[in-house]
Amino acid sequence: MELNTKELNTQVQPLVEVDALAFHFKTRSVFTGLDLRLAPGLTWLRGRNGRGKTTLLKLLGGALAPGSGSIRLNGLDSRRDALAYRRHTFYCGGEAPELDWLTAGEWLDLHLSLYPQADLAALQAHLDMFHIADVARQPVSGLSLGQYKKLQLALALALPVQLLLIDEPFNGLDVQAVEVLQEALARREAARDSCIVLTSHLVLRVAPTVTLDLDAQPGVL
Amino acid sequence: MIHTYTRFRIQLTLRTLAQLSARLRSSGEILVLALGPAILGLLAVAALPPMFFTSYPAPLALGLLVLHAIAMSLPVALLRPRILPAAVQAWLAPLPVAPGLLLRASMLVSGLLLVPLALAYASSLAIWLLQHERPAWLLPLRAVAGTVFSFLLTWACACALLVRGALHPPPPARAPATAAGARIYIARPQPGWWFLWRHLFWLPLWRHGSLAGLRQAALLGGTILASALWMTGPAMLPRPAGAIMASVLLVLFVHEADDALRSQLARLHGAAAGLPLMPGTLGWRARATLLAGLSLPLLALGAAGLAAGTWTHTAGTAWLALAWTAAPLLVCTPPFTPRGRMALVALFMLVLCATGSKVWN
Repeated sequence: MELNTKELNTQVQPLVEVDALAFHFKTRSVFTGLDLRLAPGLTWLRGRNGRGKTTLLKLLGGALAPGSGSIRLNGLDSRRDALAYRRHTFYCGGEAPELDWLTAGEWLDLHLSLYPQADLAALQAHLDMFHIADVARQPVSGLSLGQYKKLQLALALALPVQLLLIDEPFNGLDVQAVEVLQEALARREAARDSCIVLTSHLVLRVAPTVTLDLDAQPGVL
Repeated sequence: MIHTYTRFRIQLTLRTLAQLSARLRSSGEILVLALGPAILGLLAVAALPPMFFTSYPAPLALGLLVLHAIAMSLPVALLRPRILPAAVQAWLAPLPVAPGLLLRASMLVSGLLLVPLALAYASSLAIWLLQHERPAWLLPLRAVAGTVFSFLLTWACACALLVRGALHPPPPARAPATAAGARIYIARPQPGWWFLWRHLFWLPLWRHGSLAGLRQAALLGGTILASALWMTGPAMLPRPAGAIMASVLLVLFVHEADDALRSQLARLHGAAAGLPLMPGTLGWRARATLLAGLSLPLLALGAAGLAAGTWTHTAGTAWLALAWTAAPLLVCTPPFTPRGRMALVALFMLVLCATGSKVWN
């Protein structure tokens, strides 16, 4: 799998640079010349439905390729250095389980094998706090919306990535899980050692480092 | 005026039939070229079983006709997941649909599905009843009545299957309850390709309602059995027949395995997007692993043939060389078009059959 061995310089502060980003679906354009700078901390990405919040997160996570323009994470280009770039990002979102033939345990193991530096103790702790440590043998397709969301979040919070992209994390979560997530986000925001970009239509209880409103952003159609 | 529910069910069915016919259209000429006489023969004898059963005494004839009708509704049972996909079934089942409406819709849908069978029966009846010298057992009135009875019973069975499917959607996939402590997650990630291959390519063959693993296992078993029969040459099976069986099953096995791999790679293109995996590298490594797996039955066949002295002649050597070429060519050739793909598969079958049947001459 080692196509590109260029590694991220983890000593410098993570910084995402989006330059002249354009992206079009077959039926409509979403971004035309979007420029962004994301600093360490928690960025709250806001905008009306259909403005491209999820699309932007997927572009930042490398799951979608830009039509033109570039996305760089501490100098790593999302297309040119795709493998190294993806090792330092994780997109946590989507309500329909991907890799739906796996059990929850296999799903976690697969991701852990792809992110070898993951914090196993943190993962176990979050699984316990979310009360889903016992769903390991259930197929991911058989989990409820909230359980699948918790599984994704427990993994996301244990990964040593520089850019964590969380799409609508509070959808389907119970009150106790929302508390756990808010605390984890607050800790990460205070540490300022990675970029977290989060979309939510609900007002955050954690003060975000930056609020980015796509409705007011040039380059967003 | 057709009810919206009925129209929706018919549209679903027509869409499925259109998909199936599109698949057949892409390889229609090749199928006709390779299997034309066999297809015509099958069409001619389509109504033969019910016609023949009517020549037996009434109680036995009735039992055989019922069994035949049930067996003929099997294709509808196999098509049901396509006509009524699980996701559609899940939201359709709770809708307040009156039993009469459900029955009428299911009768129409099953009727649509059975149109080809009705046409085949009609053609077959015409062929058998309009010939100058009919066999003595063929009694026209009873034959027609028996065939119509069998068809109507098949229709009723198909309708019952569809009603049952619409009323009872499959339960969501949940693991059976076990002792709480036994299921606590313990991380077991492993580095390396085999772990990745197992999770991304092996498990999907067997899970989530996939029949790809079973089909491949059946074809592999069939290939091994046919090869063993070819090599041992039992009295009941002529050597050329063994060669043809082994050749056809081997190519089908390779094609099926390659088809499953291509489908899974396409699926992963979306499902694993964003993960630290490079699709190109993943594809080539998966193909290399598949070829390594496909070489195992060929190695076994090679060893068995060596012991039986099969490869000592030119035809034997040519067959072995062609068999070893088939797998990499089918796996590594881009699927330009479904028709081109089918042509390649048919070509390999024909060449291997022709060469294999000459081995023991």
